[in-house]
Amino acid sequence: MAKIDFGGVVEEVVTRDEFPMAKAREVLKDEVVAVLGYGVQGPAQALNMRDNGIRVILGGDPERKRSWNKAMQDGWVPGETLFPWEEAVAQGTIIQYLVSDAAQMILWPKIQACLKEGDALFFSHGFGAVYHEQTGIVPPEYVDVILVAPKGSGASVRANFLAGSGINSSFAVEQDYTGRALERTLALGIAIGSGYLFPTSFKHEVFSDLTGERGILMGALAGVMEAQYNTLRKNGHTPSEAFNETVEELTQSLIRLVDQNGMDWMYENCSATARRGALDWRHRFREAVLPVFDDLYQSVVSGEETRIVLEYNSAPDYKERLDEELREMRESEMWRAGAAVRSLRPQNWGQ
Amino acid sequence: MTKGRRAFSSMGEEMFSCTGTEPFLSLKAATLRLPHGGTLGPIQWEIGCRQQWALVGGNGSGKSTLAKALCGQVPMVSGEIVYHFQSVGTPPQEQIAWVTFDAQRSALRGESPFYQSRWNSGGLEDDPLTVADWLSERGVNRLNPFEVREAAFDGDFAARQGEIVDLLGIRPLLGRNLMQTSNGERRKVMLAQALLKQPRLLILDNPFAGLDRDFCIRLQEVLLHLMDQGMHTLLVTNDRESLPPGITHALLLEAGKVVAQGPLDALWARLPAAEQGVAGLPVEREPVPNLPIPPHAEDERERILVQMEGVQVSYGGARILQEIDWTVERGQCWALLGPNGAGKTTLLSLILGDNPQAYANAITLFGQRRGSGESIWEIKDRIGWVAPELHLFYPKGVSCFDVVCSGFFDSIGRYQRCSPQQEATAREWMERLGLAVMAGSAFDAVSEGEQRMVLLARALVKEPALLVLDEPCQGLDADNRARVRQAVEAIGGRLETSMIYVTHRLDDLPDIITHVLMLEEGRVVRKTKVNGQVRWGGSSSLFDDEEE
Repeated sequence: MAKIDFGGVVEEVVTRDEFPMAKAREVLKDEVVAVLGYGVQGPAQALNMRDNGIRVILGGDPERKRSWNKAMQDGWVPGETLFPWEEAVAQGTIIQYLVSDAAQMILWPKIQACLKEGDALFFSHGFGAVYHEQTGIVPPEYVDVILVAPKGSGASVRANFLAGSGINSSFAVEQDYTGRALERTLALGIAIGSGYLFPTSFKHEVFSDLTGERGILMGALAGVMEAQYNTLRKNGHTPSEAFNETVEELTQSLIRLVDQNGMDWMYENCSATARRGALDWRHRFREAVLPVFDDLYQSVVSGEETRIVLEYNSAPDYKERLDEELREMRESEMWRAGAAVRSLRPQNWGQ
Repeated sequence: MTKGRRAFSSMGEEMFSCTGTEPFLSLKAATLRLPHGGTLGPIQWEIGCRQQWALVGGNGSGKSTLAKALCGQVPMVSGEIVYHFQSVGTPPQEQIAWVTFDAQRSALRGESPFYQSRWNSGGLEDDPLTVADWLSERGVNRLNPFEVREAAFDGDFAARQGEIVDLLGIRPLLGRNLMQTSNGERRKVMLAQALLKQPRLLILDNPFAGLDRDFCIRLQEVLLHLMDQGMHTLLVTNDRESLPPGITHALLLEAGKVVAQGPLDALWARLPAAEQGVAGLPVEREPVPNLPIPPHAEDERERILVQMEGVQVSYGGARILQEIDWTVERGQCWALLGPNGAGKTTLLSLILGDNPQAYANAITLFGQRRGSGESIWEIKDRIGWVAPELHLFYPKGVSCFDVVCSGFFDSIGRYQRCSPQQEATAREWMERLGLAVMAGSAFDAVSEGEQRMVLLARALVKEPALLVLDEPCQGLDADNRARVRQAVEAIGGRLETSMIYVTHRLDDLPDIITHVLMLEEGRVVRKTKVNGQVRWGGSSSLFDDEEE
C-alpha cells in the first residue's frame, strides 16, 4: 500500500498499480458474483464487473417488474444470468448485498438461509451489519464479510468506468473466514471500477457516512441556508436577492474555488471586506454548531438515527410522507425563488 | 412540393421584410475575435434583399465563427454588423436561427452524461424530455417557464408544427426521448426546431452531413420552397461543389481571410478549377505524405472477427435491431449503409463493447463468445473507432495530442501515461494527417472538422485489427476527405486489416470496400459482395452486383 501524508497524518492507500485488473481477474477467476438489487449501485457495479470479464449473475424479484425489466434491458437473461433471490445466492460465491438498507433487513432471513460455507458477503454500506441489533443482520461465522463503498453515485461509477477512468472507494474486512477476504475485497474493488481504495472499518464507514449526510453534505447545508435566507427576508430583502446571496453565489462561484484549490484560495479571491468578516465569523459559527455536531455523532453511534430511519422507512405510508416533506421544501418560497434564479443564468442563454 | 406550398402559406410575405434596394444585412469592416486567439477579417460583406448566400471554406477557415458572429455570439474587435430588417420587439439576433452540431452538443449534454448512456438502462430514466417537447412552442422559443406574461401565444403554432413535422417526415420520432434518437435523427429534430422559429435568417452549418440521401433531397426541396417564400438562408459549407439549388451568392473564406465573394456565376468564372482546394484556390498545405505502414505481424489469430446470429435489440418494446445474421472475416472491408435511424450505430455498439444487450445475444468477437469471461477492454483494444458524436464527450481542455494518445487506452479523456514509443507513434500519426500544428491546442477549441481528424488519428494509433469508422468524413472538407481516404486505404489495403465503414455518401467510400451490409428499420435488407466501387444503381436499387 502506498503511504500518503494527509495533513501530517500518514495513511495507507491501495492503488491500481499495485492491484491491477489482471490480478483482480486472477483472484476472481473461480468466483461467481451474485449481485442482489438493481437500484442505484447494483446496475453500475454489476455492469462494470461483467464488462471486466468477471462472472456476474443478478438476484431479484421477478414480481417487481420495474427492476426486473430494467435488468433485462441491460442484457441480463432470466434463467441464465438473472434469478430470483434465493437461486442467485445459491449459485453465487460472492454475494453483493446492494438492496436498500430497509430491504436488506426484510430480505435477510431469505438470504441468510442460502449462504454457503466460504461465501463472501459483500456490502457497499455498513449500515445493515453495524446496526445488527436493530436490523437482525448477523452474518454466519462461516462466510467472509467485506465492504467496498464507492465515493459516488451509481451513475458516476458507470460513467467513469466507460470513459476509462474510475472512482475512489473505501474498503473494509469485517470477518475473514477463508483467509482470502482481503484479496477478494480488493479484487472486487478494482473490478467494480475503483481508482484508489482507502481502508476503513464497517463502523467508521457508517458513522462518517451518516454524520456527513446529516451534517454538512445535506442537513446542515439546507438548515444554515434557510436560516440566512429567512434573516434576509425578514429584513426586507427580495427573494431573488436573498437567494442569490445565500445559494447562487456559493454554487455558481465560490464553492468551485474551494474545489479547485481549497478554502484559503477562495478567501484569497474575495474582497478584503468579505475576507475580514468571514475570517471572524468562521470561529463564531464553528463554536455555535460544534455542540450540534457532537449530538449528531452520538445519535449516530447510539443507533438512535438507525431507529428513526427503520421506523420511518418501513411505515406503510412511507412514500407519501416522503413526497410531502420534499414537496414542502420544493414549494417553499426560497426554493421556488431558486428555480427562477436558475432559469435566468446568463450561461443558459445559448441553450 | 405542392404540399410544402400549402404548409408554409401562413408564413406569408412578411418574411422578406426588406425591399429591393435596401440590403438585408451588412458587415462593415467587421473584425472578429477567434475562439483560440487571432482574428477574422476585416470583412466587408452585404447580403442583399432576396439573396441566398453560401459561406464556403475548409475546416478551420473561420466560417462557423463568422456565422456565429451574425447571431451576436462572437466578440467584435472593430467594425460593425448592421441588421437592416425590421425587428418587432425582438432583437435581430434572435430572429436568426442557427442549426449546427454545437446546438446538438448542448442538447445532448443536458441529457446524457456519457457516450454509452443511450444503451444503458439508467441513462434514459432521468430526462423526460421528448422530441415533441423540443418541438413544442416553449421548446422552440426557449421560453422561461417562470416569466409572467400575457397570453400572446401564436395561434398558428400547432398547425405549423404539424406541417413541418410532416414535411421533414419526423412524426415517428415525436414520442421518443431525444437520447433514443440516432445522430442523424437528432439533426432532423434540430432542423425542425429552427424552422419552427420562423426565422428571418436561417443559418445552416453543414446541414447535409450525416443525413440520408432521401432526407437530403427532401431538405433541399423544403429549403428551396422557404427561400421562395422569402426566408433568407445562409448555408455554411466546405463543399462548393454541392451547393443546393436556390443559392445565389457565395463568400469564400480561406484561413480566416475572405478570398472572394459575389454572385455564383461570376464567382466560379473567376476562379480556377475546384479540385485544387475547397474554395477553389490552391491549397498551401503540404501534400499528404505516403504512409509507411508495416504489415501486421503474422500470427495465429482467428479468421472470423465478428459473428452475429439472430441478434435482437429492443428498448421498452421498440425493436431497434431484429434477426441480424452477420459475419465479418479478416481482410473484409464492409460498407454499413442505411437511412437515419436504421440501427447502424446500435449495431456497431454491439461490436464495440458499448451495449449491454450484447450479453443477451449470440455474438462472437475475435473468436470469443460475448459473456464468456472476456473484458470489454480486450475487445476495444483490437478495434480503432470513430463516431460522429464522440467529440462531444471529451472533457474540456484536453489537448489534441492527449486525445490521440487516449486511443491507446480506448478511454474518452486521458487517464494513463503513454510510453515514449506510444507518444512518438501518436506524433507520427498527427503528422501524417496534417495535424501536427494543433497537437498542443485544446481539443474543444479547434474546429469540428479538425476534431474529427484528431479522432481519426486516435483510432489509427493502435493500427488495430478492425477499424470501425462511423461517418469518419462527416463535416470534412475535400482536402481532409482525401487525407482520410488515403489513410484508410493505406491501412485497409493490408491483407490483415478489416473495416466497417458507415456513411451516407457513397463517394466517400474507399476503393477497398469488399462487402456491403444494408439496414432498414433494424433489419438486414441487403448483404452483398462488391467488386470495385460502390455506386448507386438505378433509382431504386443500390447495386448492380450480384448478391452473396
